[in-house]
Amino acid sequence: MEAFSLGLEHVLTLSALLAILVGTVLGVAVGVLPGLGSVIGITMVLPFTFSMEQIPALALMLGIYCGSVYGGSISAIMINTPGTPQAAATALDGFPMAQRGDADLALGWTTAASVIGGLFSVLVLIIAAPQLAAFSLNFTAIEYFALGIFALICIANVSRGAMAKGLLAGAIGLFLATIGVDHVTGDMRFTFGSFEMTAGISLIPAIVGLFALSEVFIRASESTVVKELVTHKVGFRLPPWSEWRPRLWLLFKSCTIGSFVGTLPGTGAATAAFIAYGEAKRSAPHKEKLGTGEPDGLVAAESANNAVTGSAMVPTLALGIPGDPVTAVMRGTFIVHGLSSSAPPITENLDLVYAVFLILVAVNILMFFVGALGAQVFTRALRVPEPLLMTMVTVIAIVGAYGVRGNPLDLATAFVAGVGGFVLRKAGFPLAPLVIGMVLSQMIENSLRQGLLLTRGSFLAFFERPIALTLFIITAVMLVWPLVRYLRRRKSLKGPS
Amino acid sequence: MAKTSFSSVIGGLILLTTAFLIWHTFDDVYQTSLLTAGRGPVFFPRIVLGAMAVFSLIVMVEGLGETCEPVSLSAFAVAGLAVALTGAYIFSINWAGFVIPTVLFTALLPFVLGYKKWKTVLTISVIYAFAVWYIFEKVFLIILPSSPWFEVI
Repeated sequence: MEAFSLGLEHVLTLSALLAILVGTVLGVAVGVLPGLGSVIGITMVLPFTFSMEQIPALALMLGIYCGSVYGGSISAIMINTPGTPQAAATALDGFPMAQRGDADLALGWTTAASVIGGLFSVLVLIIAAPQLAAFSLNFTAIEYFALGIFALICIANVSRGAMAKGLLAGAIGLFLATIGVDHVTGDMRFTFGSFEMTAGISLIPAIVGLFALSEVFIRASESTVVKELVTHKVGFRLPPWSEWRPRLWLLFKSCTIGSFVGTLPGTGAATAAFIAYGEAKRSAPHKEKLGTGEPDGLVAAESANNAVTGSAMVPTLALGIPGDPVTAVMRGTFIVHGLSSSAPPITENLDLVYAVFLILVAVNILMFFVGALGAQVFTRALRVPEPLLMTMVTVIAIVGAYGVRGNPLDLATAFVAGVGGFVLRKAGFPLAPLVIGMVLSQMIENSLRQGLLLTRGSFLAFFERPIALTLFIITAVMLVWPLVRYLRRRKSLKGPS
Repeated sequence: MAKTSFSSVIGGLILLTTAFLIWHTFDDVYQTSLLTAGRGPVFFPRIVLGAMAVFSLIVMVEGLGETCEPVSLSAFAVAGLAVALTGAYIFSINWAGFVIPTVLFTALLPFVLGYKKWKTVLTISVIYAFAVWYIFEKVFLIILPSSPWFEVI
């Protein structure tokens, strides 16, 4: 209770409340602009957070995160171009609805569903995070090692059609984080005599380069056409209660799907939205009308993708393991603000965790008013020419890379990461596993070494502990399953002949 | 060059780099920690590099069997220019300070990306560079690199 009141005290300050407001508004604006997305939005505000206190910095980032997931739906409805990948399923029914003159109603459906989904996920976070943290008290270094490997394989495994590339990206991330001083022996690793390299590769500049700079280079290579997009006015109309009532079960199911998917490392809001949309297609009250401007599709997609936002924080807060690049950046910012890089926040900073709960509630409620009052304004942001926008993003991203330590080497890191990210993306590599690999590397290495000390050097003894064994089995199944599926498909193709 | 064969090339390059790094882990510099029962500074990196070698080989082989897609050379030239400009910008910040390179960069990159309204670009570049500098230096107190020619910026 003391921690809760301390958390409330943290949030009820002018700077924190202002950060919530600015973060939510900026987040929606970032979400509206196609291609920017949550990660770039958060990397853009990173330099601002360095001189802020811990809670306002966190509030700003959470506002951006939740706001951007919702904001993507506005452009999906208005111009049939999802502002973020998370809103791709929203366009399927949102745009047809706008075409028949009900854009205001579509915005009403998506805003309400987003807010409900977001609040539902906060509830899941409040219930699940302490339970998971309590369960994790049974964990030794061996379980943390198994968990780290499991999280990394999960993220690599969701890279559809590119599992080997996902695994390779994850391994590259693990390796990059080993450069510099070995925390156990104090030896230098892979520095090749360079003094500057002894501090290792800083995470934030690497993320800035991998996501923000590589996005600019990718767009340059694709010669994206500048479009004048919105020509008509946008209103806001909430659907009546009678329209909601038959869809309450669908809403609950979609929120549950989103919250569950959110807790799994590497899956994310886009996956949740499509799973919920698929379920709506199977069982929604008006399933036959889906894809023609049916509110069922909007309710399913938007409540599910926003339900990811809170639950995605569960592993980060309870176990210290980020599930996606967004929470990885947040974890990095926690560390910049002096939190432990190894201990989960919930065990050492309970007041901060309560503050996160409260901020998420505030952001989701605020999102409703921002959406209702600001849809017209946000669609104007779509008129900013893309080359100007990308240039501004680049400058802010570079300031973000420099601002962490004021070290010119970080600028070089961001640039190299940007070029590397561009090349890897062009070759079809996913970047999320690389970032998560960098974040998890130290934890995996330390827990492996400590685990081997516990077992007197026997790796086989790792399999004698039930929780670790369960995680290893799931990890092995996830690794082997795509191969089994491939062999079965080949067999069935050969079968008839 | 095509996307698929490109992924094979990248897989091959990563494999070569990994092979070099594995060889490097046997360097004398790491032999000082033999007392750590084989779990010295390169114990974990060797495992990771082993995994990288396997996965990069798979990526390389997978890419060989895939079909090719045509790639626009002019688009890649634009990307190359954007990369070069960003690299020059980052390099010049270190010796010319933040503001001047930022004005030049924000004026040039939109042209490279295909936006030709130069009056708009020039106006925005000057206002934006000074606005970012002012916000970070004066409001957020994040010290950005300064130029050797002007005392303030």
